[in-house]
Amino acid sequence: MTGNRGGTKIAGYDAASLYILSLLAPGTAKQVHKTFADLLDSPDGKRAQLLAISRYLKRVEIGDFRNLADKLHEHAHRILSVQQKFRSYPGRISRISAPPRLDLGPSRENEISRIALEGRRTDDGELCKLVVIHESGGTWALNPHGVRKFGVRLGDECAIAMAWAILADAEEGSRLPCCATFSSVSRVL
Amino acid sequence: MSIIRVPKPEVLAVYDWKETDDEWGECRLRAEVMTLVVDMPCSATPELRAELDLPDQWWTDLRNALDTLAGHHTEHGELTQEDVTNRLLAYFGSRIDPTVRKWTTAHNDLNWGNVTAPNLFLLDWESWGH
Repeated sequence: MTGNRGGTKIAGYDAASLYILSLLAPGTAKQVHKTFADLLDSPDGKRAQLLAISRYLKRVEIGDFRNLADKLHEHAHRILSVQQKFRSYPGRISRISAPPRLDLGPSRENEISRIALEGRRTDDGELCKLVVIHESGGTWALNPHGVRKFGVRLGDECAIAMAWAILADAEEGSRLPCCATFSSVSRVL
Repeated sequence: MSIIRVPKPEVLAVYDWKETDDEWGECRLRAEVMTLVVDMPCSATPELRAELDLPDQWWTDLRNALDTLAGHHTEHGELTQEDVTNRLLAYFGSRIDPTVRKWTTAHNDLNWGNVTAPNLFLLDWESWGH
């Protein structure tokens, strides 16, 4: 039991454990995810999931949880491939867990994390950020930076579908260097 | 350490003693008497091998239980940033930023063999000590 004592852990560790141990039953896994989405989808939640995965992979080495091994690897890969993609666009995409940096405006109560993309305004060509806020109710709010009173809120499925549609378009035009790493975006986003 | 307002068996009495064993030498033993939980574990195994059909209220209870637990202060079983950094580096390389933003209290061995239904209880607290 060494190292498994109850006590202080990364926020969301217990939820992450149950989630990881549900991967063989996708319906229940989905329910766990829904119950703890704000914890699991946060950057700490991803770390907690990876920590739980490593714990059970360690057990595979001594012959336990053999039936879960592939699921553990697949799930870790899903989490990591998305992380890597964010990192490959330094300065252009930033992903910030709440509370966000002040220059992007105050955090909203139901905010899990936000993604800020730098672009230019369509009217005057000035630099402007597009802020995508992941909200705990399973929605995503898209606002030009600084515009709070008007934005568009998308449901979870719709936001993911949009991300897929962009990826599919980009892939068609071969503008994306390695589309394969996006293949698992939907689950983690 | 007492965890309150989390659905779990209540420890009524603890008895500690020592025995000497030929193989292990001196052993410290502990017996605990706990309140009875009649609800069954969600699974016979820690990992779930079949889908569960649980009512919304059960999921709400689970969320509340873990939130309440997370809010407890403890000095127990402190996991350090260094532990997390080393573990993540060993298993997943440097692809993930290991810096933990928020630490909370966890059961830490929660699995489908120690959560019960239809009434939710969280079992297996012995690693917490008393």
